[in-house]
Amino acid sequence: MRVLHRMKSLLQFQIIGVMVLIAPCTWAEAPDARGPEQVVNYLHDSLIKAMREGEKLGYRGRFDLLAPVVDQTHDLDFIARTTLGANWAQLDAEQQRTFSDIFRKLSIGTYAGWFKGYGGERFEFLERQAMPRDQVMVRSRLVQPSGEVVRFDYILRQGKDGWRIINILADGVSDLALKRVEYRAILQRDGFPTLIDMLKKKIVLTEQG
Amino acid sequence: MKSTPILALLLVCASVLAGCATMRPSDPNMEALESHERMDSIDPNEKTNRKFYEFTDMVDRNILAPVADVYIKYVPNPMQRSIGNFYDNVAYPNVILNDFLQGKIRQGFQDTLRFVINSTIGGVGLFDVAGPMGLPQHDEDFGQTLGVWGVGTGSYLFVPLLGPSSYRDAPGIPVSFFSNMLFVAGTFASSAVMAPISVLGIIDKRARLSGPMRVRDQAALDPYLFVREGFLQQRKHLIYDGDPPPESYDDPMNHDIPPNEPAAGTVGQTIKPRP
Repeated sequence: MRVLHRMKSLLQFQIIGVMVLIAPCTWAEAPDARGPEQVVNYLHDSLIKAMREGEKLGYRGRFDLLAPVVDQTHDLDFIARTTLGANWAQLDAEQQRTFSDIFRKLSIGTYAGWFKGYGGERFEFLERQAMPRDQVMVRSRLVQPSGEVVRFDYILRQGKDGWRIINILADGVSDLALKRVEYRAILQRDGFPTLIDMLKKKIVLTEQG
Repeated sequence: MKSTPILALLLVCASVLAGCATMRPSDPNMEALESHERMDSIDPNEKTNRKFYEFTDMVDRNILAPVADVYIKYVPNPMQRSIGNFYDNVAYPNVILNDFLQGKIRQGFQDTLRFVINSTIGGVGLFDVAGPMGLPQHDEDFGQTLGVWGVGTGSYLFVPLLGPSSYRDAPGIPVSFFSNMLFVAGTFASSAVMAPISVLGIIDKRARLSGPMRVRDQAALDPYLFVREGFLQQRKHLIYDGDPPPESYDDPMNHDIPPNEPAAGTVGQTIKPRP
């Protein structure tokens, strides 16, 4: 009986052990289960939080708050590759890493720079639309205290980590398209080091909001 | 945060409105070539346009921007709003005209009523009393009308001192000029009255652009391209009255595929012409 009792205890211990091991994985994978709207909502809620606590946090605090959120809601590697298109393949692995890293910092820095103060703004979900290539468009708008409205439409696609934002249209202006034209022109005209230098300067500018 | 007013319909404009399907090139060299050709097709006069842009930017930074900054800093906000309302109202016949040209009959009558109300009980347009009465301001012009009629964007054009435009939007410049009530008033009022009103109108316009200009200065790597792409995209947005159908989305992946990405989904995207 004692042996049986010990085996039972051991089994319980093992089960608890397995659960402890599995639990963090389950939590880590939690964002994967989010649908497109939830991903956008998570970003919006975080942006409102950054705005509400904007002054207290300062630029660095907002950057640190938003960095994991942007990582979990955007497919930044995909956006970086798409921005450079055919030019991406012409960069060596080190250059690709450098570009992706700078691009990530600029993306998060832009959010941290712009969403810094709260005056009663709110995001509203409008609708979700299926798009070609298995993409989804989540349409929303930001209502400002003055009543002025800015449309934010997000294009998402489902990758290995779940639904991720791959483009944002602010009042119809596509962030990806805008960057694509600029980055490629500079890459072809001035070369890779110049592009990186310019992006680094822009990251510094985001701090001035 | 509003990055709006400046900001690119890429290539496809002509083919988009014509309802063509865009195929993705599979060879990277072809992609680059196509991308390059696309730039040329939308902005064949880039050299001249850039010169006009640089000239306008120089005038803006040295004269207009400093004056607008002083205006923004010292003129109280309610007064700025009223001045803005006044200039919007005198230009409103252009909106009404283009409402009707686009077949928006109901909106045309509503805008006419808005213009009459604001010009009278709104104190010659200084106060937007029609807005709270359920007659909101609309944004229509002849360039948008041509877009609604199915005319393609045509080549990009930077008009010195006036700003970004296109072959399709440029005809709208004289239309808005002659339909402006200030033009009508100028035919019988003395220049001593009209000159300061016109100058204040320029300052008001520039002051309202200060936000987008700041976005440009902070975000743009190549301000000329930033303004061009932003403008062309925003025009497309306006043609759809700020609510473009999902089919109008110009997917960057239609132009080329990012490397290391498996092709998925539809190959091309067919975009219906605007009715």
